[in-house]
Amino acid sequence: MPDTYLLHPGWEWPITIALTIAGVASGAYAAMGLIHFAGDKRDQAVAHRLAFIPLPLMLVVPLLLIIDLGQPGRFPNLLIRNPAAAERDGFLMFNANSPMNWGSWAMVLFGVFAAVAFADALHHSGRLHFSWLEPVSHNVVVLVIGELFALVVSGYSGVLLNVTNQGVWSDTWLMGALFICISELSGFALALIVSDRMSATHTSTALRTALFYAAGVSTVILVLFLADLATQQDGSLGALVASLHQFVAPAFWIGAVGLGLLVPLLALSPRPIVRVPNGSLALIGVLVLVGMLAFRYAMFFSAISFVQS
Amino acid sequence: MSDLRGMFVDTSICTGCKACQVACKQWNEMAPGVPLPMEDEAAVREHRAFTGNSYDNTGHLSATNWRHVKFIEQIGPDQTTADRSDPRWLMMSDSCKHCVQAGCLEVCPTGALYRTQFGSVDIHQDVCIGCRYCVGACPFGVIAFNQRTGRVNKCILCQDRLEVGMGTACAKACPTSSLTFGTVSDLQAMANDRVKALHARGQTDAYIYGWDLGNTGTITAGPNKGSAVKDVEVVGGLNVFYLLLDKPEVYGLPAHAALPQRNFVPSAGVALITAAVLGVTGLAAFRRNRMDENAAATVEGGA
Repeated sequence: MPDTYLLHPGWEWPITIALTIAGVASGAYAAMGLIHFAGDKRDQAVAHRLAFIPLPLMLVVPLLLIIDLGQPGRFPNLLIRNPAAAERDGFLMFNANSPMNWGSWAMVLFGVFAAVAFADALHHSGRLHFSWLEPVSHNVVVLVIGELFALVVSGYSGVLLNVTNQGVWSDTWLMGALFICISELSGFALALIVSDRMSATHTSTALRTALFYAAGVSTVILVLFLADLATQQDGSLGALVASLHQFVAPAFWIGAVGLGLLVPLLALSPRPIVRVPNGSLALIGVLVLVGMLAFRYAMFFSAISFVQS
Repeated sequence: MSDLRGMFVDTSICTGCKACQVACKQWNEMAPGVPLPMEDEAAVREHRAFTGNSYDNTGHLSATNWRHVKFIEQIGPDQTTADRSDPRWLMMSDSCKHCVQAGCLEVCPTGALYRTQFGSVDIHQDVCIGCRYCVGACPFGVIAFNQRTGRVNKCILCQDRLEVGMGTACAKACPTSSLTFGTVSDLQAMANDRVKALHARGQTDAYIYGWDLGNTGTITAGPNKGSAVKDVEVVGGLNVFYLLLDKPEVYGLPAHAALPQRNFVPSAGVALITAAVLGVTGLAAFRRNRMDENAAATVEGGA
């Protein structure tokens, strides 16, 4: 007889991919905002190019979520209260105790800010003219609010995993922090690819430092995460190690740790251990993006392995 | 309080007849299911395989098994030895506990899970979107995803019967009164009396799982013989609660079941701090870049 029986939600690849895409979109928006805030005039071209990215990605996310749910008609129940749920008041659906509700609303509202950034990018590219939009899209308050929604989109899925009763997921408080790191690294990696492709040397230099710092912070959070699991009384570290041994191991060690963290730490350091030839920063960015997809996958499937082990 | 309905499950008189399982399936019109060989991986995954575990043929609760009788064979102090002294067979009819603080209800993003006028937790099937968040949130592994409907299912404490003044089908079918339906306050008093009666007869291992009524005892048989036990209140209390004769883990119940929301604020807080640190390091990277360029320009100007 097992000690305690738990059932796993059985979230599959559409959810993992959807949340990865949402994380990349919010990370790209965060990087764009950072360049707007902290960069100078030479950096703005990269910020405007980055602004094209979040909106199309955020349009893909609901499609993947609908694939997972199976029926498109069900999706609105996350946002608009179904009349059958008579116990709840109001027209809109919001349960403050549910990270999934926070995330759903954050994605919708972040989509609005991503659309504003996209329109502004169109304006700056000269394809369409929305000169009236510039005071809004470049307004600091608008950018800050957009960044806050991007932050919720980045981290809510990690907090959501924490707010369960599943092994590994609920054993620490660091899942949300890890997912913020994953999104931030993804955003910086994407920005590095864009700036490298645009030969924006000035911006690339700043971004490689930003990516290096973010990889350092993420490594610290990952070490704290593993240490936190190790201190648990219920043998979670053993379960994690067992699960990493099964089918998450390559995704975790090669993808997340290797490509996602070690590559930027070794190659983008001010005194790099691995020399990166000029013009190959985009390659580093691609490797980090692949690493971040693997990182999210490893985190999602760690609890499945825990249940099966 | 008097309106709250629940069930008291006295495992000391459960005979494992599974009349409750049958009554549940019959009333709720659920397919009986045909056990398949363990080699059939899909059958194992969907809980349709032979379990090979005593008289248990459904394994555990699922979308089509809202009630499950557990069989726990305790033969000898340690099952790895040939010592077959002090054998005992524990049985327990398990279902949704209709927690006073229900994790499934708390995390539901659509309002599909709701508290009924009787204090039980029911599901609006037409509101459920099948996101399965409640499945991961339940500390007892009760609520399950139904592959056929794409929604979740669990025991609803026979809401349709309660609305017309009837009790639950399982309790009605139980031939030994191991399952008793009633108001929670009455059931607590009955449970307390039952524990005291068992203790008076020398069966000191009886205690309550679900509410702390102040009972303590000592396990009299099985691998945990001699261990102390006491009433356990979890997640604010259980409207369906149990009289157990061994540690909760022996029955597959968590000793410290908790709401998943215990992690919400700490997790969100740590995430916010991390975001702030990442924001500061990002700003520092751009500032450092500017300072390096200014320094280089100064050197060039000086030269």
